[in-house]
Amino acid sequence: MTDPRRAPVPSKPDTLAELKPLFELARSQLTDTEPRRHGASLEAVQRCVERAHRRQRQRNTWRAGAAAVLVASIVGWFALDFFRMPLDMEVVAGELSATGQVSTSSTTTTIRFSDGTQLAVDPAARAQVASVRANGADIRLERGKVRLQVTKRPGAHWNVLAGAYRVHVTGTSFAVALAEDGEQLDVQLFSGSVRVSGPLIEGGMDVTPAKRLSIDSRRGLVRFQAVASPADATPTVTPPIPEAPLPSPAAPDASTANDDDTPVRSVSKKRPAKAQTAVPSWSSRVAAGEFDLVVSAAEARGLDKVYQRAPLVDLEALADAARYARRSSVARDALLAMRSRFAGSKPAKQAAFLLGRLVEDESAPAALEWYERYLKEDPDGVHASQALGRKMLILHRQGDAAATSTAQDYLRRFPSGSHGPSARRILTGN
Amino acid sequence: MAEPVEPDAELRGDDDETLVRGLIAKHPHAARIAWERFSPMVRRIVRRTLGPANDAEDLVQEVFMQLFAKVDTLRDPKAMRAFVTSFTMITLRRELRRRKLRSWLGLRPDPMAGDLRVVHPDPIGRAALERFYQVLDRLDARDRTAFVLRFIEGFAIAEVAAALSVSQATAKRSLAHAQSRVLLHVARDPLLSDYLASTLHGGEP
Repeated sequence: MTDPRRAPVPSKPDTLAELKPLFELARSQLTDTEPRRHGASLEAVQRCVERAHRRQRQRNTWRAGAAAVLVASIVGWFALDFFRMPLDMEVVAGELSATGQVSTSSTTTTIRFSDGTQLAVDPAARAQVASVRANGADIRLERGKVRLQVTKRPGAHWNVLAGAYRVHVTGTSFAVALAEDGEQLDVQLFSGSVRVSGPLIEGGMDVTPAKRLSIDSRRGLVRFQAVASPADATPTVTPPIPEAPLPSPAAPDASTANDDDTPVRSVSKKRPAKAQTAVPSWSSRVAAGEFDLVVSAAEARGLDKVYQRAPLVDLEALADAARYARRSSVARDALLAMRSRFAGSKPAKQAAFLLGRLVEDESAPAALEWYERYLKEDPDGVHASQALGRKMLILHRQGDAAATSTAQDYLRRFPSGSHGPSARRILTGN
Repeated sequence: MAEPVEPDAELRGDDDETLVRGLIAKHPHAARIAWERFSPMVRRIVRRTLGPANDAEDLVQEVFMQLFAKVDTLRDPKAMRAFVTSFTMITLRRELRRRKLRSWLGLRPDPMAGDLRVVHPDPIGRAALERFYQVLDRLDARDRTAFVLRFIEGFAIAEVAAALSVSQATAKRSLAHAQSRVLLHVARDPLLSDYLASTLHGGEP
């Protein structure tokens, strides 16, 4: 079956003259031929001529009421949607078990939530996504370092539970490090604000940007120091945790970068210099949660021009921003442009998976096609686990017998993957 | 005050001005004659704007209801055809906006494909026509109606502007915007690209 959203084939109309066959097709097929119910049409019009004024009054009243109901429904629908449906998680790099436990690995685990929040877990850290809600999640940190960039939204509610400490955030970028013995905590804030509570600070303490909070509950020490320069902006805990300095707020986050095969898309490791200039890059805006600004900037520039001429990194940022801002058509077109213009690149391959995610609610068959395409192009890619898991679920919903073999394949390749329980249920027929 | 109403034969003549006077005076047959004279044009424009899988008849009726209710506001009876076209455009743009809202709310679009088999027995042409109108669905109401009037109906720019009640400069901008969007998305659609390639190189797809 031809993929309706595949990159364009070589025949590419440049002028309207080349579209003439389509115009002719429309003219020949869409004529003024009257349906057989001609008499009924005219009689209906004539009746309405007689009752025109009464109908108009009734229509106006109905429309006003319908509009009010419609507006209330829209508001209620979005509110309901926001507050009831838990956030989706996307494992960009690394593995996450069904219980939310981050698997230890040699690289940083990166998880992206559907509101744009991003969690990065250091290789040596032990952490768990303990619970996910519609407006946030709880991250349990047992040891090591995590970094969280929380998208600022009304009612957002995120917690990092680090030992006996609780770091509560509403919209910020920060890092937390906890020593293995659980007695030393370090919190560094890059933007926004967080509130930390726990031993020695039971009343809670607000940490603001350019401040660092260090607590040693064993020695009864609480230090709250200003950060004079990016070099000082390194949350640390004393050994035995080996220290890898976290980057400054102005520089890209090296600790969230994976190896070359699994780049983290939206955290801008690609343009460090640009973050220092007066005009933030689209990637850095996405990292700051400014999704609407990126989409607006693209629209101001002209979306078609952006699709045709923007560099890959900007298209990636636009695709991400549009997804988070719920501008599906812009996201789709940006992803298609990536695949068309940068075919074969890693981001272009990953775009296939994201296109599947975009269309999955509207068309499971189209999503299935995109997941299969991604698995073929990038079988060991960062989204392979998710693509295979979602493919399995779609096949199962369709009653396709291939769901069974797909479930087996999934468990073989990703035994501790997040779709493991579903795969086992499919295999046991439960 | 209306002039004396002409007999039926006069109403059926080519003179729109006489027909308008008949409508204003509520001549008993004026509505039927207006319907016979203008409904083909209205139906054609509605169908070509909305696409193949949509029932145009309800909208055609709505156009005439509006027309008959407001015919006495027509300042120049000789401009009846443009008046009808204008009401058609208003009705179409309202319908297109209603559909966008339904789409935004996540409501499923009106079912397609059922009528296509009646419209065009050729499955390739049917699919190409359906896909082409999916490309037009990406345009906003004004761009879409301008595009259809200009390139499918063959209206001149001035006529497009008059039908949409905008300046010629605005009409040109709408057309340019629509043109670039349509070309981009047709180019990206492999089925349409194949269809165009085959018709350009060999006649039948």
